[in-house]
Amino acid sequence: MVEKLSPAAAEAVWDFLNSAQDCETLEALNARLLKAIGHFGLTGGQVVRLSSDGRISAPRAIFGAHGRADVGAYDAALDGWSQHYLDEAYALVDPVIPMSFQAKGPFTWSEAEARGMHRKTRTLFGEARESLIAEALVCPVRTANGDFAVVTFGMDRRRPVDLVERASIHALASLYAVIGDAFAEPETSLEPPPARPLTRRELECVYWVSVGKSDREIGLILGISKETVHRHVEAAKTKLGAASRAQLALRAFALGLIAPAMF
Amino acid sequence: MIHVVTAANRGFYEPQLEAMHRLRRELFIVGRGWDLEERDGGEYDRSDDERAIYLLMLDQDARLLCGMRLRPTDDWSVLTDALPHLVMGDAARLKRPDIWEMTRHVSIGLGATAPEARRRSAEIRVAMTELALRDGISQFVGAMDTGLLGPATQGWIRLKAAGLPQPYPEGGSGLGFTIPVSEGLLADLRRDFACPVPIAFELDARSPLSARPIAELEIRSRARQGADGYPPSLAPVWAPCFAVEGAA
Repeated sequence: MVEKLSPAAAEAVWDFLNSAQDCETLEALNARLLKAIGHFGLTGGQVVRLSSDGRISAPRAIFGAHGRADVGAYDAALDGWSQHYLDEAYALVDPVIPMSFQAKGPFTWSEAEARGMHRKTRTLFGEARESLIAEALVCPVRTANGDFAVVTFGMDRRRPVDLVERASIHALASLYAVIGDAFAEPETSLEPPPARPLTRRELECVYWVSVGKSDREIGLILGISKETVHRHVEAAKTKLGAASRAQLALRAFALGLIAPAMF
Repeated sequence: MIHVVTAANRGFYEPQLEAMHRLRRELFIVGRGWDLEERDGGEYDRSDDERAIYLLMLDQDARLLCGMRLRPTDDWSVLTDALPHLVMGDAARLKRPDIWEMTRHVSIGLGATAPEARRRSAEIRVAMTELALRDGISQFVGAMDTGLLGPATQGWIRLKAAGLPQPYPEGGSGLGFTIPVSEGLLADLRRDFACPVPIAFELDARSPLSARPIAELEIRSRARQGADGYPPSLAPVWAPCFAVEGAA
């Protein structure tokens, strides 16, 4: 059985999906987003970049939509929280970051917090809730230039968001991040660092690494030894500046060298 | 250059098509655990028939880099028949001979560097649009993971959701999409992605070129790079029987 949204929510999502591209300013886009997410009890959305030029970077807020009257106060709180997050090196214990690279769909702060293994994780979420919002729905997305990001929506902790709602919110977030990125302030450095070209074999190995294959499995697919696969993977890691297989896959996706399969 | 592989010229591309089906098996049967037909080490479904057209991107040794299947929706399609709940309203309205479904987009790697990968990714879209305009295709439809909506909209410029996204049983969600085809779309794709020359290449079985190895065509295509470094195709897809010197 296929679950459905309420008619009003469905209409609002449909309207955003069909009209977001027509927005000529970020303000217009934000207004449409707020109208759509309001049907899910979400209070605002913030795009936070997690990678830059294909490399994982400290989370950085880029742009957002907030339906608050006290926008200035919220922006100041966000700036203050961002600095505190950096000062405390919270990125090292924040389970939202790894989940954002692994999750197939949106997840809540509470769901991420439950996965946190570090004692500092609880402090992180406690402070975030006190400084910003009580709960958030996090949607992993890609920005216009291919970087990884999340759109973090404020929400009421007591209101559950079901899978059908999450699917629609994910669509809103994906479109919002790309279209809004075009209006956002350009980065100071848009020129990606030069990367040495991968060989055909290295590229193939990186692709299979990205879908979770081991060296032995890749060797069987490509008809080469696992030792040879290992050499190709190590060479690719060096060329792309990746410290691990996960970083290698991430970087290759972010640079667009490999792409996800489609139905 | 993107190879257009039809029922008429499939015989020239047997190794590449086998590689594509093997890749599909790894990704969809092994990787995603989907219950699909497995044959000769590859994945097949009912759309892999005489009406299917495959677009293949190859390297200079004629090995598969990227594959995509196109097929009319009028009798059956994944979106309208297997996933009709991803379409707002009656999905049957999308079952028409001039509406084609894009499915099974698989890629082993688009390019050795980011600029090359960006350019080659755009080549697929341009080639599809060239083919559509030649063959009277008015619209592409398909389904994709919801998280790809933004990047896909950016890449296709005029892509629209066909309905609201729905969750998959295995986690995540998907949604249907439509892409209206027009001369304007082709012009926009060429302009936005710096892809000024014809990309699609359909090997005519009657052409003397068909006696040449596919790898040779790829190498010659690369040798004819323009001043901007862009590798033009051997001939426009709409040229019914291009001159042999096109490859020289």
